[in-house]
Amino acid sequence: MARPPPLDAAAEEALLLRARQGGRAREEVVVELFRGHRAPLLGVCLHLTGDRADAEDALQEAFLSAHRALPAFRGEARLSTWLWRIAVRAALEVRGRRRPAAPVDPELPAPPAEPPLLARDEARRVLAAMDRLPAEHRVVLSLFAAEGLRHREIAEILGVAEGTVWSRLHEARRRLAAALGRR
Amino acid sequence: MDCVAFEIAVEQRRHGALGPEETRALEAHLAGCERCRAYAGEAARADAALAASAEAAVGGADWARLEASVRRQVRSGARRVVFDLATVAVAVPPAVLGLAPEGRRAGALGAALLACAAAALVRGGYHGFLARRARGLAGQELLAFHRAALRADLRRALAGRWLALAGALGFAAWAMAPGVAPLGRVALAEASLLVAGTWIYVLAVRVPRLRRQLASLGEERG
Ligand SMILES: [Zn+2]
Repeated sequence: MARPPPLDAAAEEALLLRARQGGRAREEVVVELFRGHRAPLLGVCLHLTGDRADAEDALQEAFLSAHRALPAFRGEARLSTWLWRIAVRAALEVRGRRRPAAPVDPELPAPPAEPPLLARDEARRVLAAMDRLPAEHRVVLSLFAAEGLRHREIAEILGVAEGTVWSRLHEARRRLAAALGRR
Repeated sequence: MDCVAFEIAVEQRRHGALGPEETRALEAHLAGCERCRAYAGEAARADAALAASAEAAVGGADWARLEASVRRQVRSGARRVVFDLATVAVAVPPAVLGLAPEGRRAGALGAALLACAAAALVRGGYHGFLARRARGLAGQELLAFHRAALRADLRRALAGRWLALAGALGFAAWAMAPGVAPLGRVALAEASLLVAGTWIYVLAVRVPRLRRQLASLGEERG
């Protein structure tokens, strides 16, 4: 997954200044943020919803929320951290809208270079097992699996102490193994 | 150190957060501990599977379509405000004038316009509320905030039906004031419809939806 170079503080400030002009300028800022963050955010939305179409819906909703919330953004966090928080909540909401009866059978598209059948099978099984975990564990597992997120940023996204992310990740790992029937 | 501490060290090493000395200690432990080696293998395997599924979704995404859709929805949000206002301006005055009896039309129209203005204020406030809430409060635990927001919505929805009942009763009392019998029946019907509609919406749609949202989060974890 190609990840764009993270925006530094000056670049974020410039984006925010433009967003405050409102109208078309704010729309363009949202589209720029979309282009810069869409891949890792979509990955996490997939892990949190367990479904590809839901993940794409969640991604779009996250950017609509971001567009709405941008004028109120006061630089209380990094812009990217703020976006991650919005995306996590959007994904949880989209998943919560699904009827409980709807079973999760993550339909993974064949990527350009087809991975071995076994790997795809494993990916599907892990996604289905993730779906049975509490939100806290799903979120921490998917954020740690996202490319380029360091534990400090994950702690900020979750709003917990740095030490807490490790213990939560450890607990989540144990639960995932149990859900996979491996422990 | 027990195995749990080493398992956490395994995670820290995987994510580049383990110092050189701790790394040596971990490696020494792993050499002799089957359980921790299994943990490390399982972690690598699960993360690889997660990365593979994310990569598949990213590779299969039609970015141009998604971006166009985000743009379209951003714009339609702005247009909807104008559309809502125009609809209200066109629909409310004739409806009120048609329903209200001779002699009370000016008062009814005034009340209706006031109600519209109040609704617009509430809508604007709700919009701002959603914007502030989208990200959760800075520095607050995200999932605790998410749960608390859903519970607050649930409380508001349940309180909302009583508010509708109180509003309808007030409206009916006003409309049935002595000397205006024709409006009384219409108003009573309108008020009952409003209450019934609100209760059906709250109990059959809104509350189950919020309960489903809460249930989908699973048990609360520290
Ligand atoms: Zn051990």
